[in-house]
Amino acid sequence: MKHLRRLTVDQLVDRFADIGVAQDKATLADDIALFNRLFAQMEAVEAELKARGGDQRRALLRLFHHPNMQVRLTAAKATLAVAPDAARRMLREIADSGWGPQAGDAGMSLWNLEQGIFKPT
Amino acid sequence: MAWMHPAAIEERRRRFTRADAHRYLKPDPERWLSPEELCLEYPELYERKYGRASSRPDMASASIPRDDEPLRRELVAALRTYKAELNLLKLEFALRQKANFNPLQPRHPKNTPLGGRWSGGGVGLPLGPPPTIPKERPPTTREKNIVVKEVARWLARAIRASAPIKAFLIAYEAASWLDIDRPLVEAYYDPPRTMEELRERALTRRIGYDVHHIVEKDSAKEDGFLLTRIESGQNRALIPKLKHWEITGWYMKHNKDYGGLSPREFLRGKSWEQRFEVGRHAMILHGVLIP
Repeated sequence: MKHLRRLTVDQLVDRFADIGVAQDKATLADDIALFNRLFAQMEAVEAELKARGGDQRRALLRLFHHPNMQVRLTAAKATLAVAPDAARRMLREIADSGWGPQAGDAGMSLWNLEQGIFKPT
Repeated sequence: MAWMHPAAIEERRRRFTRADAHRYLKPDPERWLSPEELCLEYPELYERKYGRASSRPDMASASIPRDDEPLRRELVAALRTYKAELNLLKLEFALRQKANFNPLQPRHPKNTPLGGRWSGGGVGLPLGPPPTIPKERPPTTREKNIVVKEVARWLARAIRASAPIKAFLIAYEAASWLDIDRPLVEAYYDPPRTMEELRERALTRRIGYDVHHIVEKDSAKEDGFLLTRIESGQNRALIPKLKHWEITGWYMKHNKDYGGLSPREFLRGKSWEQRFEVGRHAMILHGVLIP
């Protein structure tokens, strides 16, 4: 996406977090169509970070302390390829927290990783 | 008769009681008032039934001169407040018990930033303020459901974090429009059950719960699986409605785990066994099924 190329890494991380917050609201409202549109936008931000020199997805690690659980969850999934230990730890913590519905999603991601269904790249 | 929340009963009583209801009360209050209320409201009847109030140590303080009307009213009000508080405590206790509250779980030491809070298993996420419960029912079902989900989830987190919830419970109890959805909120705290239990419970309908198909019904039908298999007792489990919504939402949302497809799309064309395994794990990890 052209407009993403003009953003700095920090701005891209902020954009990623904003999309995560919007996803959380869409989930609460059961607006799956909106969630899926936001998912595509988030994938584009992640792809842009990956394309930057040295794979800048590592910058998403700062979102592990974000006050929104959906943002933490998506940041953990997006950093599995670049910081697997920290990302798995984050997923485990979310899964153990019982913080619905993200806890279920994080638990399923860990299971999918074990099963080889989810192969982070 | 189906179980009703005490607050719901109280609200119905208030709504359907005539303004001059006192004229229609049964004339034998000594039979239907509690001893405490009888002592305050009708001391003569109390004496006739239980003897002099002052002769019973627990009722000594309730012996009020009949002519001191303001004091009597104050005491009746205090008694009712006390009863309401007791009901709140009972509700709080029930919720904490359901949510697997364990008072023996280790806590962070005193005089530390997290002093007194549970240690282990937390992600250090601030609980945040409780959701606002509107006085009137939100105009649309979708808006109403947002409030119901926020209430259930915030309460679950607060109980887990051992945060005080009394003030929130007062607002929760006072919102009579929530009466119809209270079973949904309270079912959300159900502990996980075994597969056998969930299957057996699916044989009867319960308010606040949904029958969940472990292998998703519609996509299995579209992929040509027999209805007898889809609707068999092996594939049906009764789970809390709000958890059912969470699992269904997870099936429908695009997900990195499945290369950007939704789990539902990913499972198209897969075998019954693969679908069942994913469905079973989704139930475990959403907290409804014991592994």
